[in-house]
Amino acid sequence: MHTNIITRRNFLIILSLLIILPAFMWGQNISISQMDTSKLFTSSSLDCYVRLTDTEGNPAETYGKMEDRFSLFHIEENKNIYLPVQEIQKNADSRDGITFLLLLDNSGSMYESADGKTDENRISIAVRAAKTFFSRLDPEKDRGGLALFNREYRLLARPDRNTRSLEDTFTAVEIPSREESYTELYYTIVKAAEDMGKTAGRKAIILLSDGENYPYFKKSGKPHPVIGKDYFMPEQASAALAENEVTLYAVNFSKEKDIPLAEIALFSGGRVFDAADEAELTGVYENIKVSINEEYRIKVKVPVTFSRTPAIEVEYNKQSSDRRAYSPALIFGSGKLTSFTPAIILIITGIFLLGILFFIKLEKSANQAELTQLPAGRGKAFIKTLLLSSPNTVIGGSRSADYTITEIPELADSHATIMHNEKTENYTLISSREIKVNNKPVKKRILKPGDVINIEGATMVFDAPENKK
Amino acid sequence: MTTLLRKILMTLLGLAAALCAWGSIELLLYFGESLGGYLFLTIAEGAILGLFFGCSFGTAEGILLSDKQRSLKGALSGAATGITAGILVMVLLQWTLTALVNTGLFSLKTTETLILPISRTIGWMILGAAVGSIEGIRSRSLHRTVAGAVGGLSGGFAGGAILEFTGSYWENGFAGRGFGVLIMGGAIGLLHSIFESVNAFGILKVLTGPVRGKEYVLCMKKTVLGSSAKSAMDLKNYSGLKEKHALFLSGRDEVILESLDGEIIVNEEKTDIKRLQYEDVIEIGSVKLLYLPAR
Repeated sequence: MHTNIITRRNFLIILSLLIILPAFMWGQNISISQMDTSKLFTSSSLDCYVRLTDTEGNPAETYGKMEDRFSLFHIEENKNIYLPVQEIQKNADSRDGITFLLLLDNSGSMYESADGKTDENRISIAVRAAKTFFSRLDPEKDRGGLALFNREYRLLARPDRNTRSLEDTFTAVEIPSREESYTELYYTIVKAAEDMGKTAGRKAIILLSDGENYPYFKKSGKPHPVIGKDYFMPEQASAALAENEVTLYAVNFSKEKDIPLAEIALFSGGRVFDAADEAELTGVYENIKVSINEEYRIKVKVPVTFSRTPAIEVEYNKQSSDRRAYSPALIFGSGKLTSFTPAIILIITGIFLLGILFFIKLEKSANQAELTQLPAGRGKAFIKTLLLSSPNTVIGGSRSADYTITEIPELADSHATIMHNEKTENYTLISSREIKVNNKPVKKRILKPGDVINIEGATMVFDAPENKK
Repeated sequence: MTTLLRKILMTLLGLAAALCAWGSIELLLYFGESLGGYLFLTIAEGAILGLFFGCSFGTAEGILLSDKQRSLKGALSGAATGITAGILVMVLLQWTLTALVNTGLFSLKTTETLILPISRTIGWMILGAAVGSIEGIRSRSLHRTVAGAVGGLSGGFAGGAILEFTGSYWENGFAGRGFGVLIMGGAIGLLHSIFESVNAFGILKVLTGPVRGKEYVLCMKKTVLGSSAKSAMDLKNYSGLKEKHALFLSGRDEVILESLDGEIIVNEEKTDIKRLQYEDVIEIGSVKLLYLPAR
């Protein structure tokens, strides 16, 4: 009887779980909040930060072996490859902390009363909540940084583990001048994303603002001191966040809201919150921290890809999925041939050219007596190489000479003559003035193959077949 | 062969190597997805570049001196040096890049638009220097190694910078890669030969015989000529030469010719040792050489 009661009770519990759990799991959403590709080249792996949330957007509980719950796929143009999970852990359990950059709106409206009743302005409340937030970060792992924005973006402190030093930086929060009291929201996000791009690991920007984007140039007609006549669009902010792999959490600290800001935050993997007072603001910050700590860092090995837009898709329990693109910076760029034939043609062409250079013979012995001017000396011969086929070859500066050399004023019209004796096969050089043969002054000389003749600086080489001397 | 022809030939050798390297890299990328990972891909790319450039420039001296045996030996040692240098450069470059990215000193945008291109160009320079110095290392000449390295460094810089430029602004990866690699190959060849000429002590021009017109650039402090296979020039088709016939000792302002085991004649006068002057005509065995000092 007793056994039956236990069995019935167990049956009811199991039945309840079977009814509740799927409903619980079906209500879970997965989203990729960030991808870290810094280890892509060394280990061909990347870290994918995923967040599981319930229907209300709060971190969802998970059961069972995590490796079995998550399925990751590498998505290319026409391919979908399953990626085995190498490592999975919650951010809270990771040795690597989270890097936060808090962006505080320091426009003119932040110096108005928070609720319209008390004297305390919004910026004072925001500063106190920020101090509380930084004091609650894990000093061993987490890093915090602070920036202000209005017309301009000012990074007061780069993210650092020593968040106590941030206390001093808050003294820089001062009421802006009339000219500074604008809200360059999207420009600020771009600048902050670039600053956060310097950091590896999980990183998030928390942006607190009490109004809409209110760009200086567009509203005042005057050029912005930094960006001149430019003003930034929401798409640029989204692109900067994606490019620098950073998540944006936006906090509306007023009823005035910037509508595109919510989309920017969601597109980056973050969320949007509303806060009206210090308690709510502190709660929002805590919520962001907990939500990131509850995320999973999933390490997967990815295949080599030459696709321009590869992506990772994460699926949870085959119910919910999210996808995010990444860009491997390849040394030889992306894009590849659709056929390997051009590559083969290139290699064959290269080898063919090498072969020509290897087998080409540019030099050969003289097979007839000849005179060649060398570029080393002075003057310029009409013909570089002259075959000595006539009995007398006159060398001189005149156009009527057989071997005319110009650009040497000292050269006579008929400066020297090479006479060919058909009987002896000798070639004799005769000159009325002294010339040089093999660096020796001569006026008459029987030439031998390879003799170097220098006439007023013009250098020539006489050559002939060995039997023709 | 004149120094101009030498420059043209070196440029063509660089272009031939670049064509082979370009085609091989395209093949590698075509089949690259089935390779182990990005690290292996990087190593393979380095090996391919080193292999072709090393092999091609290794043959240069032999081709320039019409010495096929020397060409083949040079190709082998050049390939070995090139592959080693290529892998080392690419892996070191990748490690440096990874380390730079992880220092957190630069934003991703700065890394992609500035750090990566600069680092890769430096990588090409190092690769060019390694490839350019192959012949110097092979012939154990510091002077030649330095001249080759500087030429290769400059060529690597020119080609690498263009490769980066075309990679960033040329949508077609195939054309961009090809243009950059070809420019780099040609520039390494041309600048290597220019630096070799600039740093040369002088030129020996063959006046007679089978390799008449060939020019040998004196860029080593000691140059031995003779019938031996180790002779700086292949003179085996000339008669009357001893294995180690003559020695050229090159310094900053002078080149001295010394007799080793054979008789030497300078300007038709026998001599044992002679400080060479402009247009001196040297006879060793049946070969006649014209000496032209460096300008």
